[in-house]
Amino acid sequence: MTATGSELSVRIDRKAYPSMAGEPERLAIEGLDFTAAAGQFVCIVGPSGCGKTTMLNVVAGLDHAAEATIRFGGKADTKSSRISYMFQTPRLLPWATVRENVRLVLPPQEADSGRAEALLEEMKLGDRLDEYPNRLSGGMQRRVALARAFVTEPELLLLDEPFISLDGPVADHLRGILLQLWRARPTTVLFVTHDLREAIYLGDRILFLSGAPSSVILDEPVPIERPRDVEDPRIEDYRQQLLAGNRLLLQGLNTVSETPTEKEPDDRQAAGGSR
Amino acid sequence: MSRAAAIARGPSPTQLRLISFLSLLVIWEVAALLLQSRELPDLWQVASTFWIELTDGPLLTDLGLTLFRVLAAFLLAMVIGSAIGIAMGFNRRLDHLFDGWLILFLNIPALVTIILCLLWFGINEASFIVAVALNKIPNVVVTLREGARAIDRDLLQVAEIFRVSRRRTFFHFFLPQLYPYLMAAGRSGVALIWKIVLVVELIGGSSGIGFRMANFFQYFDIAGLLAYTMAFVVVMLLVEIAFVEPLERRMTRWRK
Repeated sequence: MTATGSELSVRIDRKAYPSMAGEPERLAIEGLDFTAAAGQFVCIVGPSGCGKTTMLNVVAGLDHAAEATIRFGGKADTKSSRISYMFQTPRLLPWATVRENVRLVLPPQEADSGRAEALLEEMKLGDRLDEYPNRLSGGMQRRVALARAFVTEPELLLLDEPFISLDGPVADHLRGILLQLWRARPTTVLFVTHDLREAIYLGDRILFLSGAPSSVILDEPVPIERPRDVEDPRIEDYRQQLLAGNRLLLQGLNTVSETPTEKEPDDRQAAGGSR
Repeated sequence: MSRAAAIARGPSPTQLRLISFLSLLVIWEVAALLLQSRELPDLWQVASTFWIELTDGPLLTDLGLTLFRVLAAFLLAMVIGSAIGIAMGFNRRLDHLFDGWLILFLNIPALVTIILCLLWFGINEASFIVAVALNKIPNVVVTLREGARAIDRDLLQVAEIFRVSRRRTFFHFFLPQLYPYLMAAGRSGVALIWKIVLVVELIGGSSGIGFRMANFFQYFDIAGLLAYTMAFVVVMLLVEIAFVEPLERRMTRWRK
């Protein structure tokens, strides 16, 4: 019953955005190559705009115009595998209730299994099942999105800076929930972020990408045993150590902007209104 | 206590509507009494004509026929217009190809379409309905094209990732995004279509409210004209209250 995910190997030879409106062609990724072991939690860190989202889209099969070879669980793409994707914004259907949002991604014959409700209960959303997402705070909307991501028992889970634009404590809380869910339902994870602390807290291993055209420039394991504590000083120590040891390589990381790249409704207002 | 509060708040929206409708009737009645003219019959004359036409005359049959034509033309226009509009909103090449046609059809006077249809397809039920629908389709196309252009592809990506079936994607991820546009097209559609149906009946019909109107015109029967108009307006009002408004509330309840 326990899906532990499968081995994922990614090789993106070249991905470019065609020239538009007089602008030259933009090369996003070139020679990006790595393998994630089954059940491994891999964090991918790189400066903003380096093509991290593009890479996830290629892995997910959403981008059809890349020269890439993806192998997952012995298959030539991820099309026939159960994958989940958590985006920068929650991307919930505003016209569907919390419960419907989670149930809609299940195959029809599994919708009534009670799995959606059980998972939402676990996320402390049991009393909000029949509410619409715009009544929830940003943090709660992320919890619904997390429940949706895990309800299908994915073999591969992709996350694209899902906790960006949240307040620090709310984001930490959600990171804790993510780890808890992942421990209970092991799966191969690619977690994209530009926050090195977040990557160290969450990951088994960290891949560093260069600026565009991006490729893997550094591949480091995280030598801190689980379960980890957000406040563990070893996280900050390891961050300093990584930055110090690779000053030139990781230059871009110190100057990243904190602004989200996807548009988002005002979370704080929603949070205030629901209380 | 609650009564006092109600008075302090003033009349509710429903009460306001009622007051405004009643005041319209009062203005009519006063004007009719002041003028004392055949050209403006008072309420009671219209009401008694209405009653006679309802019980002894062809009002019910005509009303039924006209409503049937309105409904048929409405459904035809909405289905065809939505399909074309969505296709044009999604496919830029298609949009460029047919944009000129659209502008052309938007600007053909309703009368021209009606006469051409009656001449080409003859005077029959199908021809009436096509003539009316043709006048509405271009508006539906324009509205739904706008809707299709505004579709949030991020949500469709969610459906793609989670392998949601095509059917479900359409009904749960795609169509709800178009509800506001369908609602807008539908509302202006009913208002426009019933007016055009009357014109078609007036020109080519031997039944329906429009045909009666032609008779009343010939005999200078203003009371009859107003009685038929009232019957139709009341029916449309009931449709609005019993059908359109609940539907709209249902579709937009998540916004609150």
